[in-house]
Amino acid sequence: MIQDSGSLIASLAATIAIVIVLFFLPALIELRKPKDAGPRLIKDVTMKIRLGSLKVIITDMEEEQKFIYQKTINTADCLCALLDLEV
Amino acid sequence: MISEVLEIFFTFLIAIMMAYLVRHYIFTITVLRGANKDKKPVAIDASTFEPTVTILIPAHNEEKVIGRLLQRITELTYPKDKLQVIVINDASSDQTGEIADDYKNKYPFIEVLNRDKNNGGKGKASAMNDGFSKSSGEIVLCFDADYYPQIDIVEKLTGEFIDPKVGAVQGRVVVLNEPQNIITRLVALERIGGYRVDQEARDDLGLIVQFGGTVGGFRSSLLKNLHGWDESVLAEDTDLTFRIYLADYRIPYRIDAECYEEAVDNWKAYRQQRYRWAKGHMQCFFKHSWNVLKTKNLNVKEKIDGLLLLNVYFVPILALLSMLIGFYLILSGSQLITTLWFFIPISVYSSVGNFAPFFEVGVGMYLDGRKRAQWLIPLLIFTFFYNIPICLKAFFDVTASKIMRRDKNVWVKTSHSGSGNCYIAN
Repeated sequence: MIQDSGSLIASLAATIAIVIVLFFLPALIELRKPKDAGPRLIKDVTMKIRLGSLKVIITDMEEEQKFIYQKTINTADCLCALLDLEV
Repeated sequence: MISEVLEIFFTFLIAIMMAYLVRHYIFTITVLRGANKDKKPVAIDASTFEPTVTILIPAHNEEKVIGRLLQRITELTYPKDKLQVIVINDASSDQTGEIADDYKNKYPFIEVLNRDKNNGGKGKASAMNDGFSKSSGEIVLCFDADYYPQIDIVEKLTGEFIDPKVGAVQGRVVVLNEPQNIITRLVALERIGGYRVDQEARDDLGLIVQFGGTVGGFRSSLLKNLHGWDESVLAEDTDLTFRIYLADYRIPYRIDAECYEEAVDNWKAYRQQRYRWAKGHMQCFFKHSWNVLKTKNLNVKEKIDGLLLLNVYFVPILALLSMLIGFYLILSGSQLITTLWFFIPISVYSSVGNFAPFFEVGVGMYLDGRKRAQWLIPLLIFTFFYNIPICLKAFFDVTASKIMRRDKNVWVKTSHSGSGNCYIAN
């Protein structure tokens, strides 16, 4: 049982004062003059996007190669046909 | 006699607080240890896994924010021919419908579902069910109207569904309007504790990752089997979380799938939102606790974590009770206080800070590379005390409705002022 109510009140008052100083002072400083960099920035660019764009480029190159190959065959066919005509 | 009963009850309360303390320390240490390790590799097939996706956006009077989200939706990198976006205009009385219609007219993958005052305005679960009935995607993602996602968030979230055991997925929520005022700053601290530490640790430890109702999604077939959202529960997200786990599916957490949210910026909105969460969680506690205990689809650690999660909104009430009883026992000269001198302060310490205590929030901020925001952590004690009457009211309301067998839910929607718009760079 706590006998001395005076000392209890004094202890409580001292505790509250210490809590305010140690506990809340840094928070109040940061609230008055915020020095934090602010909210976390969400990042958009990912490897998936980069890979996606690379995939398009590779597909384009493949299409180009197919186109050149097809044109070469067509040209060769035309030349053969011309040679046949000469004969 | 009364003192003895109170001593037993007090010991029981301290034991519960200690259980939460142990849980918080395990979570914090797990995330700290995992921070230096490489994350689990994403399956190679996930980069080519492109299922059809429906994005549901419930919107009730969201004219200040809906345009921002829809513009962002048009910038998503996910193939638009595999994307269906349904804006559920839920009996709005402002310009929400008109803004959504503008986007619908410009972009063929955006649809608007208008609900009038007769069948709309009955809460998020009801709106989501209506939207879901019109969805065609294999995966259904959900975003609240005040959210602002990464442009590649759909790829990140849907990639998890390559595993057939995955029933749902959750991404990370980041507060957009953090610098606005003290309330948004404190909400940001809570979010960091919850999404940087809690959810990440649960995922790492194979526990119950909580679906937060937004920035996440479901396998459409599973959602159909579960008959959609339960409209009788205010925390429809937590309810669905447990129904998914009880159906033997799991929910992975993608911490890199980030999305901004506009946090509540006044105490009234904060109180209304927390009351809804508290009451909804308590409804889920009564609905799922027994099922969690008896199911064979959860292991022991999942069951323990599930029960602690379902109980979390009772903690402020139990903390208040322990404080009152502890004070009485001090005045009555009980020996128990002397015996438990070591456990009482740390159990109280573990309970404050609105469900994610100080050290957990601090570690989350450290991992996020924050420099000075940690200084605000002690202010969380005010939100903790503010949550006590909120949870008490929710508890009395849930108990009264259980006794009277009349469960009437009034959905008080969180209003959004568009204050986050100024933080988004154009």
